[in-house]
Amino acid sequence: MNSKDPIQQALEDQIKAAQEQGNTEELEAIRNDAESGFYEDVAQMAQEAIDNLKNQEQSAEQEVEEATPQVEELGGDSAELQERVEPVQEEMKEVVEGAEGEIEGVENRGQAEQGENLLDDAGKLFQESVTGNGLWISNIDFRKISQAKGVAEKLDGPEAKELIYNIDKSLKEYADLNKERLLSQYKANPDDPNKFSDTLQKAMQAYELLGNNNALSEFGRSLIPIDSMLAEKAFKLAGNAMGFNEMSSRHLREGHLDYAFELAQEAVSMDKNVTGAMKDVAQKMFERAEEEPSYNNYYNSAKAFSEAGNAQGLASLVYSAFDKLNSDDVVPLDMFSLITNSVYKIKELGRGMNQDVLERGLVFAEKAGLGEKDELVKKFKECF
Amino acid sequence: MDNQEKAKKIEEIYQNAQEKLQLLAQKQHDIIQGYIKELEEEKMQALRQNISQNYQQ
Repeated sequence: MNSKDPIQQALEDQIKAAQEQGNTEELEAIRNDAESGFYEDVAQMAQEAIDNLKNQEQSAEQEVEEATPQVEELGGDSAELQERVEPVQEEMKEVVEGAEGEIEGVENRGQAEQGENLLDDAGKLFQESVTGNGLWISNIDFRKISQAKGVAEKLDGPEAKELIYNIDKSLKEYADLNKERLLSQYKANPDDPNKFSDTLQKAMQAYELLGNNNALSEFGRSLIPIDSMLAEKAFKLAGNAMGFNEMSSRHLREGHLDYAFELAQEAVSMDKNVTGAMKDVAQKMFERAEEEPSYNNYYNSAKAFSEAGNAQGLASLVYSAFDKLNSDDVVPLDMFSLITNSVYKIKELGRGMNQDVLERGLVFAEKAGLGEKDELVKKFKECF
Repeated sequence: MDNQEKAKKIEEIYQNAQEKLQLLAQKQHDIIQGYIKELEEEKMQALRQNISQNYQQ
């Protein structure tokens, strides 16, 4: 009669309950716990066995050391003693090293088999996660497929790679299929996002899980006219500064200047060389500042020129700001601060300013109630 | 290979290595004792010769 260990019984009950509930996460957690405990035990046993064998080898060496004084007392030579026992000690060393290698081999074999089991499970999970009709995948269980991919990514070897390849292939197929559906649904109902929101989410999830930057960027481009926020998300995930640049230019053409500015800033922050949209945005912002003079409009314009690295644009802005000396639209102190920062940036960009800028700037400072001793004025003068 | 199989295999390797080590330890012990015995005999031989020479004189 076999009576079961109570711990084993409890574990079996737990597994049965999780299986009945179809709770794969719980099953995975139970197995991981059991396996980690199992490997700790085996590893400990293997280590103890190796340590014991090494101790026996050391005891034998010690016997030689202990016999040496007696040998010398009898007129013998310790080197002669060592020479006589050396072949035996070599043999002992080989036995210990051989056993150590074999024991470690057993451990590694266990781990490789654990990997194979996990891979099999991941493969099954993948099969379960994809439902299809003929050649087309009709649905994907993102939770299961994400788990399967996660397990496969942790394992090495050609089989794990093949599984990842198959998972990605299915994800790409599913994502592309939903993208096509999305575009046709949007074409049929451009003003009713509810008609295609489900397809949109499915496609986005699939591309996100796929993690292929090119596919994500391409999807992001398709989304620009449909859903700006998701398009931004796709470009962000793909690390695609050009996507933001493209989006910014499009919104600028459509007259959404502030949003175009935000997008252009994102593009520059991701890649400081992607300044194409920012240059156009800065120019438009400057035009707006001239038409509607306010500190904010000038400030944004200066920021845009700075991020675009456009010293010429900043110089035009400084002259334009001087013309607002007696305007009620701006506060002189704010404006002088802006002029100072712009001149400073022009200097940073390696360009100089004419002497008349210094003279007109100091007039502005005086209007702002600032004198020679004020830090802002000192900073302004340092630029010349 | 399950838990029990692994434990059994490690135990088997360990026992096998331990037996070999015990035999080798015994072999080493015999070598050491053999050398000591040789030295003692040499010493005794030298003593005998010394006594014999003294007696002849």
